[in-house]
Amino acid sequence: MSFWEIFKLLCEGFSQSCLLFLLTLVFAIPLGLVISFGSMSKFKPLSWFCRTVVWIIRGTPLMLQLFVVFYVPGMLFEIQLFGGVNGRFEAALLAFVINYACYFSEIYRGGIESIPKGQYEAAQVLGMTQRETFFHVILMQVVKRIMAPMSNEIITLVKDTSLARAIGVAEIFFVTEMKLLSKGLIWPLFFIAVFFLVFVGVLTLLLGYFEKKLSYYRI
Amino acid sequence: MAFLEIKNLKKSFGKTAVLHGIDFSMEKGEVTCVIGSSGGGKTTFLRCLNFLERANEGTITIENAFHFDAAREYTAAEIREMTLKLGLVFQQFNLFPQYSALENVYIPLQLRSKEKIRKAVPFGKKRREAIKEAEKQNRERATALLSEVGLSEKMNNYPCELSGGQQQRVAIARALAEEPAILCFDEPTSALDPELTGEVLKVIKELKNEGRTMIVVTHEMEFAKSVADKVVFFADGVIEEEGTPEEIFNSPRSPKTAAFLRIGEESF
Repeated sequence: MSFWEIFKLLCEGFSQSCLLFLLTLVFAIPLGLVISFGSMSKFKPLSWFCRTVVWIIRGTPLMLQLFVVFYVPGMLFEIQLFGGVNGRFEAALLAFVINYACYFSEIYRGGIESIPKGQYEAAQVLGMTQRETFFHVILMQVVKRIMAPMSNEIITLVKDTSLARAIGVAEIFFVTEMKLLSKGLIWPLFFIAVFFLVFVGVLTLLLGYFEKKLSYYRI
Repeated sequence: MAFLEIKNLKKSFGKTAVLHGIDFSMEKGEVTCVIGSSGGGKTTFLRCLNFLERANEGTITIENAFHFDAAREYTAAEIREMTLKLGLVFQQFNLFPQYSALENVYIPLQLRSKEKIRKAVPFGKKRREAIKEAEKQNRERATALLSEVGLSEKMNNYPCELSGGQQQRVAIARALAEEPAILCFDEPTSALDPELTGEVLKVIKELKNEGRTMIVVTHEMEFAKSVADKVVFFADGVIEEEGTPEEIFNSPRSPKTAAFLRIGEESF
C-alpha cells in the first residue's frame, strides 16, 4: 500500500468520526436543553423522571449504551431499528446523542440556576412573559457562563467518537485496525494522533473565539 | 376614592406573617417615602404591590388602571397587565448585563410593542412594517429617557462599564419606559457608594417636579424629609405611623417611630 492510499483510508475513517461528532452536537445541544427544563420542572414526576434518566446515562459506560442501542431492539424485540446491521452509524449516533444530551443538560442546569433571581424579577416587572424572559434575558447569560464546561465536554466528544468502533462503525480506529494494523503497519497510529491533535486544536481556537466574542460584557 | 388604594393587605411566608393588614392610600402626583427598620415589611409591601409576591389577602386599586383582589384567581397575562401599570427600581439595579444602556431600555419596550402589533395586525408585510415603525419610535423614546436621566453620552455602554449611580439611572429610565402610573423604588441608593447616591436622588427629585407618583423605600432620612409629601413608618408588619415629613421627623406620636429615628441619628 502506498502512503497516499493509506492516507486516503485514514481520511475516510476520520470523516466518519467527524460526522458522528458534528451530528451528535447538532442533536444533543437542543435535546440537552429540553432535558434540563425537564429536570428543573415544578411538575415532580417529570423532574424525577429526567433526573433518573440522567443518573442512568451518566452512571453507565457509553460502551454499554452503544451495545444496548445496537443489539437490544433487534435481539429482544425483533425490531430492525435503523435497518439492523446496516444502521451501525445511526445506532452509534443515537447512543451518543442521548449520552451527551444528559451531560449537557446538567451543564445547562448549572448555568440556568446560577443566574441571579433579580434578572427574572426585573424582566417580570417590565412585563415580559416567561418565554421572553428566557430567550431575551437569561439565555445569553447562560451561554456565557457555560462556555468553559461546554468546551471541555465538546473536546471530550471528539475523542469519544472512537468508541463507536465497538459496534463496528467504520471510523478511524476501526479502519486502521482492520486494514492496516492487521497487515503489520504501525506508523498510521501516529497519524491518528496528528488527526486528533489538529482537529482539537482547531476546535480550541474556535471555542476560544466564541468565548472572546462573549467577553464584551461581564455578569 | 384615592388614586392608589390598598386595603387590608396581608402576606405571610409559610407560618411567618410579614404583613399584618396594611391600609394605605395616596393621591396622584404624591411622593410617599417608606421608612422603618429591616424586617419591618417595607420591601415585602413593595413586592406585593408589584406582584413579585402574591398577597394572601387584601385589595390593591389604582384609579383608571386596575383593581386587584387577592381572593380572586388571576391568569399570568392579567397579572402581567397589572404589573405594567407599576414600575419598580431595585436596590441591586438588575440591569441586563448583555445589553447596552440603550438596549436595556429599548428591548422591553419593543417586546411590548411587538405583542400589541401581533394582536392587532395580521401576519405579513403590514405587520413587518408596523414592527419596524415601532422599533424606530421605541429607540427614540429610549434615547429620550436616557437623556432625561443625564446619560446621553453613555447610551452605548454596557452595564459593567457604568458606575453604580449610572446603572441605577439606567434602571430608572427603563422603569419609566412603559409610563407606569406609579413608580416604586426599593432602597435605590443602598447599594451605592456614598458619593454616588446624590446623582440618583437628584433624578428622583426631578421626577417629583414632573409630577410623577412615586413610592420610595429608603434609609436616606434627609432625602425623605426634602422630597416626601407623606412619610410612612413600617414596624413589625404594620404601618405604625404616617404623616407629613414634619409630623414624623419632628413630633412622632408613636414611641417606636421616635426610637427608630433616634437610633438613626445616633449612628452618625
